Amino acid sequence: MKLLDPASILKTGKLRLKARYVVEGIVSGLHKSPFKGYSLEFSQHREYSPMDEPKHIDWKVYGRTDKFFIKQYEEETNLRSYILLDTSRSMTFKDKLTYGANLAAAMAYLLIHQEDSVGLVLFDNEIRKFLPPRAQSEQFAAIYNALETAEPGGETAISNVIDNFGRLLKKRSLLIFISDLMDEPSEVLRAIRQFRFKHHDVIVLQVIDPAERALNFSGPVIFESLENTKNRFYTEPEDIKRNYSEVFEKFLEEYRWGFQSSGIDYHLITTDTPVETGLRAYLAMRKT
Amino acid sequence: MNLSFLNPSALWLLPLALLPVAIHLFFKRKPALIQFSDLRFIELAAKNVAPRKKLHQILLLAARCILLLLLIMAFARPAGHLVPSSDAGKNREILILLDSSYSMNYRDAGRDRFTAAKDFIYSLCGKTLANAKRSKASTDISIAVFSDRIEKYSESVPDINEIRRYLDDCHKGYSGTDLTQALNFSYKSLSKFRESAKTIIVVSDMAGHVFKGSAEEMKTRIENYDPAVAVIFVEVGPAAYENSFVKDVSLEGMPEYFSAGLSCAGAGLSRPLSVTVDDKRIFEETVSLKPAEMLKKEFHNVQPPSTDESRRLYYPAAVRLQEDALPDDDIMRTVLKIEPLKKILIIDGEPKLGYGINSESYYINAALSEKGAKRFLVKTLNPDEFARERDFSKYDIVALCNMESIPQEAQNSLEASPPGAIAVFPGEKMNPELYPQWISQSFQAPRLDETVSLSSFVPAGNLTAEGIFPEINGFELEKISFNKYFNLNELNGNTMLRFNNGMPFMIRSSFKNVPVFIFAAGAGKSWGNFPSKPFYPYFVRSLFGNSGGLESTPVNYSLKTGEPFKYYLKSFPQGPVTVGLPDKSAKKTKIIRRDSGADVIFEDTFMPGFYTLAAPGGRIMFAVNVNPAFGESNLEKAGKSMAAKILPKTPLAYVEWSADSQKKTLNALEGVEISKEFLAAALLLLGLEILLALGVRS
Repeated sequence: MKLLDPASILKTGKLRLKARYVVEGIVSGLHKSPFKGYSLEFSQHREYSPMDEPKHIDWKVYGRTDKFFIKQYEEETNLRSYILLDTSRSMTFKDKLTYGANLAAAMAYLLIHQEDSVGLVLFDNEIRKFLPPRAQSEQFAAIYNALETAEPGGETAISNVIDNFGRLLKKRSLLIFISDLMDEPSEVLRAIRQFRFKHHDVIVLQVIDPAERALNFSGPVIFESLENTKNRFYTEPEDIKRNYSEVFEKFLEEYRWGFQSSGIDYHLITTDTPVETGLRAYLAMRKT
Repeated sequence: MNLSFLNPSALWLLPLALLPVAIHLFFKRKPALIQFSDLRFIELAAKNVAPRKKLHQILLLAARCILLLLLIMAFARPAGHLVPSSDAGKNREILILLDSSYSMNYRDAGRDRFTAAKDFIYSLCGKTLANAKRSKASTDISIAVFSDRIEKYSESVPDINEIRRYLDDCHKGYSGTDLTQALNFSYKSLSKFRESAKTIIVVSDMAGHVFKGSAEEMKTRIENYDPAVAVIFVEVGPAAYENSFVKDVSLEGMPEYFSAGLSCAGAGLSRPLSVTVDDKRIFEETVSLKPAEMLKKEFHNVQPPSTDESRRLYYPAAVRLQEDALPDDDIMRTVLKIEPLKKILIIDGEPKLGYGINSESYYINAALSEKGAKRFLVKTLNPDEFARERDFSKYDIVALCNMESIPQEAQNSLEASPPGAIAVFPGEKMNPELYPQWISQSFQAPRLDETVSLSSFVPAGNLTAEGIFPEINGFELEKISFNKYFNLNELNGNTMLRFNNGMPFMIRSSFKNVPVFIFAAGAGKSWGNFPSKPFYPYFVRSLFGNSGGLESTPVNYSLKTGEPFKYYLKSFPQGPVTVGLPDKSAKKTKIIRRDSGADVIFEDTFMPGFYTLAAPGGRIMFAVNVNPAFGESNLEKAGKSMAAKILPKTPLAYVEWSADSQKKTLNALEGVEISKEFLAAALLLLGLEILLALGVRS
């Protein structure tokens, strides 16, 4: 699939994705460390960005170079993060997968730009691809490439995948789920909540197409399931539209309430919202 | 109702009614195939909606098909007929039954129902015959007038003028109703027309009393029932009514006392009530009547006009409620029979000074002295005076009391000019051997001294004790005792009353056609039968009041319509005996000879009012009243359900009385185009279809 340029998605590059909860990082960086009392030894310089606190500016380097650099110390920790993208067949409805991939690419770009390590997990009913988190700039290319070449898989089985993935995680991390969550809500919530119990920071971005939400079809239709082409259903969407909206909103509400009550950052994004708009809005909201 | 079509070629379009189904099946939009992420929500949403939607669609399709069907049928111009369509084009036989029973006298809006029925029939026949001229088939109309029998029948009245004349000659009656019999007659009359379309039209007030008995009983009475004969019931007169009536009048202890029963049907009401005797009002009051309840009114001390020597016997009396819409049942007539004063001659064989308490005549005089209206004129003679009396024919009764003997002169006078009757009361002095043989033959010596009491009355020939002694019915005769009595010889007479030992107490014999009453004992202290006992005065009054033999059998002077009047004459009349009717006409009676005398019978009592029988010896009046037993005073409608029960499988129409009864009857008879009704139904269905279509969309 053809992805957008993440840089253009993020435009000003002023966006940051910070972990809300304490995480363990590879390299001290942007995020708070759970471990206190480390010696503040100078580690390296990095170029100043407006998000950095001025107290960390190395004025000696400024004097020499007329450029702002900050000192990185060992007690700052880098974020270990994973982007998990649902590539099950339900995501192939309209442009959900492309949209999700663009989101994933943008998030990866942001994190790597923050010098956080990012890993990628592509899954449907099992993990199809796994890129362990790295902070190097080459990691982005690997992630981007994996996203571009991602093929839709089989049926959705999010809770199974999450359970398996959970066993791989050793250290506290930031987990970003990008999925339509077309699975049994109680199972998905159960599976994802366990990451919170293990003190991971979890972000869930649910991607939905407007047609899925409003069932905007007219005339008689035979609906065929993307995940099981033998499963078909004939109806006239105009007749069931109202009922369908009620049922679908109930489904979304169940996730919203379930995630929020568990302290999981949940955001619903519809594919009619431009990726950049959606992501920026989300990041701005998360910052506050 | 049978259906036919005036434009049947339009029915070829009927298959078009299936067009909506065809369009639905063959021109249905092909569904698009859409791949969708998750069908769960769609299936869940469709779960409740689909069945309702399917039903809606079926109803909509059905509504559209029926709408087209109705439009096509309306275009084909449907017409409703009572007769089966197989009868179309046949010759027609119509038999009209006109109810002339009493209830048809009821006046609605100033016109009685019978007249309204006749006018209805005339108008209906006019239109039917006019319509018949336009068709190829012929129409014949017969009219039968019925009540509780067929009064009149005219087969095949040819034209409307004849019908008018026939109807003008039909008159309302006072009889009950038997519609089943009339229907039976109709079916029988029509059965000979095998190839014709037949219809019976019943024109009646259709009150509940027209049907007698259960539906099953009525069905068995209709012997020539034919389900192919159409029947139209036309209910004359509206359902609501009020009617008061006098149900009965009875005379007891006449004329001092009589009573009447009053009732009403419909709704409770108040009515003025009056009693007249000889057209003079002697009583009036306003009474409150309730439906189905009987109000009993008693009238005491009714004083008839004082009698005189003119020998007028009969006085018309009536109990009247204020006349209402059905007038003849508001009056109940009767006849007060006032006897002239009976002339009684008492011969006392043992008169004491002033006819004291020891004399027989004292007690007879006392018994004949009545309070109130007098019936007797009493004269008492001693034996010497008796001997000097020459003409006994002016007396109704001569009573010989305790006479030792009958002087020869008196005997001769008795035989030469006899009275109406003779009574012989024995006493201490009586020596039967010194009496004429026609008296002495009844006595057998000696007197018997034993205490006996009276037994029962014994009918003797045509005579009944009740006829002679109506006032003493119910007396406990066994409590009346005597301690001395003569042994009477029964061979010369009829024993009317016996002692409890079987021996006769009273014998009726005769001498030259003069009744002679012989008693075994008399009233006297020495005889042990104290005349103060209550039995004696009534006994004496009855004997002296009725012994003239004018009426040896009771006569009913107050009859119901249709009941025959019977009267006994002592001697066979030499010429015809006629009866004057209330309408001033006169008719002959039937005369049946008896061993002694004759019975006069008059059966033509169909008109209420006072009748007069002109008999030898006087005029006798009797009254005829509407018979409440017919139930004709209650006009509650029977309704069509009973008609349908007794005429199963019959093409039936029931027309209730209204301004367009004519039109409805004609429609039932001739058929009526009903395309407007089909169009109206189609319009209604169109509205329903629009609602359904909107419902489906929403």
